[in-house]
Amino acid sequence: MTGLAASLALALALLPQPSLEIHDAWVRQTSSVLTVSSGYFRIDNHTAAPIALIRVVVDGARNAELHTVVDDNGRTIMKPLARLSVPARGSVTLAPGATHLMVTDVTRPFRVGAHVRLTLTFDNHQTRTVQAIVRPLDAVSAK
Amino acid sequence: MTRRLAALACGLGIAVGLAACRQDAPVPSAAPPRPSFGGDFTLINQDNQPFRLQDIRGRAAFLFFGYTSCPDMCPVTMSRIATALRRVGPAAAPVVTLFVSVDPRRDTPAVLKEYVGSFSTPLIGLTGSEDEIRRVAAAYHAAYEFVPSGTPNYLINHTSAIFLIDREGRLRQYFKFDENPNTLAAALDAVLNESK
Repeated sequence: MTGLAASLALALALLPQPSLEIHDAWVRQTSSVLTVSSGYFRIDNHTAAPIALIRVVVDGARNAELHTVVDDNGRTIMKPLARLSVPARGSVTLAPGATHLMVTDVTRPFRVGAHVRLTLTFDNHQTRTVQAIVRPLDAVSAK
Repeated sequence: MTRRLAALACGLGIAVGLAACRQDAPVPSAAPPRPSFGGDFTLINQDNQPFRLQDIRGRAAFLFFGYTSCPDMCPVTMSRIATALRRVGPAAAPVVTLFVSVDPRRDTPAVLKEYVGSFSTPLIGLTGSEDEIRRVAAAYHAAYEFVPSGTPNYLINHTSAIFLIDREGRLRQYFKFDENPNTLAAALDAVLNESK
């Protein structure tokens, strides 16, 4: 039995691993009146080279920009990010109150519990598509 | 006395940046009110009715400045406050949370009504004329500035602090928008436990 488990573990380890993975994607709810949202997710880079996220397209919205929250002489402000670097064999997490995706001009309201498709483009020309769950306005995580 | 002076110095500094400032200990209840910092105001609520801070005299309040198109910090602020209220428990039931919009052009009472209704914790949304908002912000040493974008989706950089107001309407403490809810809860608890 132990030998079988060891063989299984070895087989799993030898399976090709995706070079990039996106986890825990979520966006905030919007309405017909409130048309701004924000998006969050974690990017795992399994490759030996750093990569950078350079574009995100959000279905149902006309615009999405990466923003980060910075301290500007004691005042907290948001600044646009042209690219978001992910280190080799590392991860980056977009989180509330920190780096996030600002989504504007939402044309189709994001209803709580629904899913919204995000398409991420990286500087090595790879793209990833992920379904982000819509969470309430005061949510702090995907769950 | 030293603590009060430190608090005031911190308060004066927030005209350019309150977010980095935090008063860690409550001002002693014996401390005299500081009329130049905080105080009463009248604005319009999400039901298009006048709201005076005096109207909630006898109830403690959290207050923060923001705008409904704020994609990240304002919802985070609200979630921190909501968590703090839950941690205090039933004693926090009378506590009021006030959201003062610094974006009166977009944040009409109707928009505020939709916004506050989207949160699971009761929230009063407040707006007014640009002059009225400017006066209230100045009273709380809260700064804000519009960031031109060339589109209707402009951003506003604004003081992101959470203000704690006691049952007498006095500003007692302020915190960063992402303050640990346990810290907010402890401060609120202290204010609620003061004798009237």
